[in-house]
Parts: sequence; structure tokens; C-alpha cells
Amino acid sequence: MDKNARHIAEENSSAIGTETVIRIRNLYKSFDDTPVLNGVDLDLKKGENLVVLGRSGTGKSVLIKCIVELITPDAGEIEVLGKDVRRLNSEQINALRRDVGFSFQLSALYDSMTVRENLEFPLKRNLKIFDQKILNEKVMNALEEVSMEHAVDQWPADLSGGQKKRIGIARTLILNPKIMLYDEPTAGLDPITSEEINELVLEVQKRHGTSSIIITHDLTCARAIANRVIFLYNGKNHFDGPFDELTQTQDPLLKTFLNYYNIEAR
Amino acid sequence: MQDTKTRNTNRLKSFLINLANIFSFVSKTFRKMFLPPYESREILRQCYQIGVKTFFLVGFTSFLVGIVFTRQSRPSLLEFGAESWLPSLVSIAIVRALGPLVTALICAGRVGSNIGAELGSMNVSEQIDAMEVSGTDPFRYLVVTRVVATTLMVPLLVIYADTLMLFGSFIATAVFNQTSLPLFFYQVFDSLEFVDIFSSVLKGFLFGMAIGLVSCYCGYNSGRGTVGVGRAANISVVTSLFLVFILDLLSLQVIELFR
Ligand SMILES: Nc1ncnc2c1ncn2[C@@H]1O[C@H](COP(=O)(O)OP(=O)(O)OP(=O)(O)O)[C@@H](O)[C@H]1O
Ligand SMILES: [Mg+2]
Repeated sequence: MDKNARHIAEENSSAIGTETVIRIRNLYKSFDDTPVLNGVDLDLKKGENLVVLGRSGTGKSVLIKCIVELITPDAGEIEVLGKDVRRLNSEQINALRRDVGFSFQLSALYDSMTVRENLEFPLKRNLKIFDQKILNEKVMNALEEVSMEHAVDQWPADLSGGQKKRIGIARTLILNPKIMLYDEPTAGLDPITSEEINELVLEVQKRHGTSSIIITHDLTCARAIANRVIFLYNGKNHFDGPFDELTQTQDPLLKTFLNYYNIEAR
Repeated sequence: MQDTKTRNTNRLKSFLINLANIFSFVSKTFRKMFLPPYESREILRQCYQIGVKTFFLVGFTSFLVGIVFTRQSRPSLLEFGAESWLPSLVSIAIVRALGPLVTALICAGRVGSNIGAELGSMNVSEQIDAMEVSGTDPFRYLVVTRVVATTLMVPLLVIYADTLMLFGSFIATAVFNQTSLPLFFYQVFDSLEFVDIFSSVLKGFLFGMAIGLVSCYCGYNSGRGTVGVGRAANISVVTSLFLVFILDLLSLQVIELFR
């Protein structure tokens, strides 16, 4: 079923470098005295697809929001592309956000703007491009990459969940990021559409040489695209290794999690 | 026993935290309002939106209120044989009190709920986060623009409402008495002082600012989930209305000082 995606993934894995693009150590974050992240460590190598697994509410979204400073952690180190994220001024944070693309769990398209305006927004706002010719060209290129050229003048409300995901990814890609963070790219989609999104994620990585962190609940998705998997539990890393190692594990907690998804442990 | 005590302390604590949040929200709004960069295009767009949403509603309602108020005041004046005072009485009541109030009530219902729901749903669906990673300060782009827009538009709408209310009042007067439009408006402006018109606009300014601040606060800080959006819209309206009445009372005291 996901042979195609798996194939691309294997091809890609040869491209993983040794350079670390994201390095997180001992990350802590609480909301109103409720600890969410409890000392998370994470390393992302150049060209790697890292999948973060974990139950709902373990703080996966909080973790990647800390990487782009949408949430400020209580303690810990975050280094992205060699820069200490927690010591950047607002100009530098803007620059960081050009290099690190964030694809949101709910797509987060602006309801009050058409697809075109949605894609132009980061170009005008972050890159300060106002030449309509360049804008059009970039918008059409980005839409082509996610095969959504026909939707350019539609409103987000008229698109399906899968289409919104694609547009959301296009809006992120338009800034040519070096790192992509995907927050549950396949949540709420049917298996065929999920498969298409998985392939899109891999294609993007291949074409742009990006490194990616992908958050998911979907083990099929994880198997298709992961070079490495991290399993978060109670705000800590519980497992860190390749996907095959995860499925062969004897750890009772992971076994319960895997059984729940009926993954054949092979 | 112990339980009630801790619950009350918690309630007090969350009330104080809320108060501090509101204070920092308001001061942040004013700070960002006066410091560049200014989102002037977005402010214009918001002004236009508010105008479009309320133009007919405010106009029509004001016209009707003008008619009804005049029709209902007339018998009392007749009783005292003071019917010729009708234009003065009506114009003072309209410009000082009714015009600003009716405008504020409509704007709170129409604009306040809209801002609350819009920002609330943007918050829930991560659109505010998305703006932030696109190199835009969402507070400036969403909150400051809306507060400025309501603060500028509501006073304009008040003048418009005053005018249409007076016009409605003229129609109601003309049915029973010999009058003409120039004569009626001559009587109106004869009985009005500058302070009256100034207070009408000042109230509009204060009401507009209150509606903008309250509904932006509710929307921007809405709870997560779809329930949060409905609640944000609802609380925006209720709190705006409440504040409008309080401000009405306070501005009365202030304006008395200028008389
Ligand atoms: N801005 C916030 N304010 C308060 N609490 C928050 C905030 N963001 C997240 N939380 C809390 O942090 C916890 C983890 O949230 P998070 O969204 O990271 O979970 P998740 O692992 O991404 O779950 P899911 O798979 O359902 O998306 C939740 O209990 C949530 O209520
Ligand atoms: Mg999440």
C-alpha cells in the first residue's frame, strides 16, 4: 500500500548528513503548574525525517512550537541551525522562521483571505516582496508543487481537509525553508489522502533537501516516512531509534501503544 | 469548610490574574498603537468592514427611534401646552443621550460579537500562530487595527445616527404640526450647545474604544475548542454592553464639568 512512499524514504535515507540542524536538551514547559514537557531531548540531522509519536496531550505540539518560539519554554536549550533560539531578537527570530517552516495541525489557513492571498501573506510580510509579478510566479510555483493550481482563487472554507493541508504546506514551502515541522499532517484524513500527503512530505524533502520533524499518531505514516522515531511519554523521551526497532520492542508501554494500532510486530 | 475556603482563595486568585491580564492587554494595545510599524491598510479595511456592517442597521434603527421618541413625548408636552418646545426637547435628548447609546448598542451586538467570534476562531484554528511565524505581529495586525477602527468609526456612526434620529423626529413632528425641514433644524440647532455635540462624539469615541478592546480581549484570549469561540462572541457582547452603560454614566459626570 505505501510501497511507493517507503521506496522514496529508503532512497532519501542515504542523504542523511552528520550535521545536527536542531538540538534540544532538557526542555521543560508547564502550563498553570501542570508540567507538559519534562526534560525532552531531541536531535535532528540534516536531511533526516524524524517522526515524533506519543499519545494525545503529551506535548508534541508544544515541543515543536518551542522550536519556532511560538511558545517560550521554562528551561532547557534549543539550538536551530547553530543558533540559540532563546537568545534571538525579533529580527533574528523572523529570519529563523524563514528557515524553519511550520505546517499546522489544523492547516491554519486564513479564513478571510483567498488561497492566493494566503500564500502571498508570508511573502509580503516576511520577505517584503510586493512586486505582483514575482508574487504570482511564486504562488503558482508553490501551488504546483502540491498540485493545487486550480484552487488559487478559492476560499479556504470551500476546500476539503486534504486540500487545506496541501495549501497549508504550500504556504510554508513558499519561503524555501531548510527545516520543515509538520504537526500531524495526516490527522483526520482518509487512508488514501493520508498516503498522498505522506508522499508529498517525502517529495518535498527530496526536492528541497529539507530536514523534517513530523508529529503523528498514525503509525502507517510513521513507517512510510520515518528515518528515526521518538516516542514521548509523560513529557520525556521514552524511545529513540529507527522504526523497525520500535516494532520489535519488548517494552510493555510501547507494546500497548503499538497493539492499539494493530501494527504487526515484525 | 476547608474546601470552600480554598475554592474562594482560588477564585480570588484567578480574578486577580484576570485583572492583571486585562491591564497588560490594554497597555500593550496602546503602546503598539502609537509605535510604528502601523498597519494602516488593515485599519482602513477594518473601518470599511464596520461601516458596511452597521450602516443600514444604525440608520434604520435611529430613524425609527426618532419617530417613536417624538410621538411619545408629544402628549406630555401637549398637556403643559408646551408643544412648541418639542424640537428642543427631542434634539437635546437625542444628541446627548439617545444617539450615542443606540449606536453603541447596535455596534456592540453587530461588531463586538463579530470581532469576538472572528478572533476566537482564529485563535482556535492556530491562524494567530500562523501569522506570527509569517513575520507578522498578530497583536498589531489583529487587535490594534480593530481597536483603532472601532474607536474611529463609532463616533462617526454616532453623528450619522443623531442626524437620522432628528430626521425621524422631524417626520413625526410634521405629521401633526405645521413645520418645515429648515424651520425644524433651525429650532434644533438653536437649542443645542457645542458641548452637546461634543459630548455626543466623545461618548461615541469612548464606546467605540470599549467595544473594540473588550471584544478583542475576549476573542484573542478565547478558550481552546469550538465552545471557546461561542463563549468569546457571547461574552464580548455582554461585557461591551455593560461597559457602555457604565461609561455613559461616567461621561455624564465628566461632561457636567464643562457646562
Ligand atoms: N497555549 C496553551 N495554554 C495552556 N495549555 C496548553 C497550551 N498549549 C498546550 N497546552 C496543554 O499542553 C498539553 C499538551 O498539548 P499539545 O497540544 O502539545 O498535545 P499534543 O501532544 O500535540 O496532542 P495532540 O496529539 O492531541 O495534538 C495539553 O494538556 C494542553 O492542554
Ligand atoms: Mg498537537
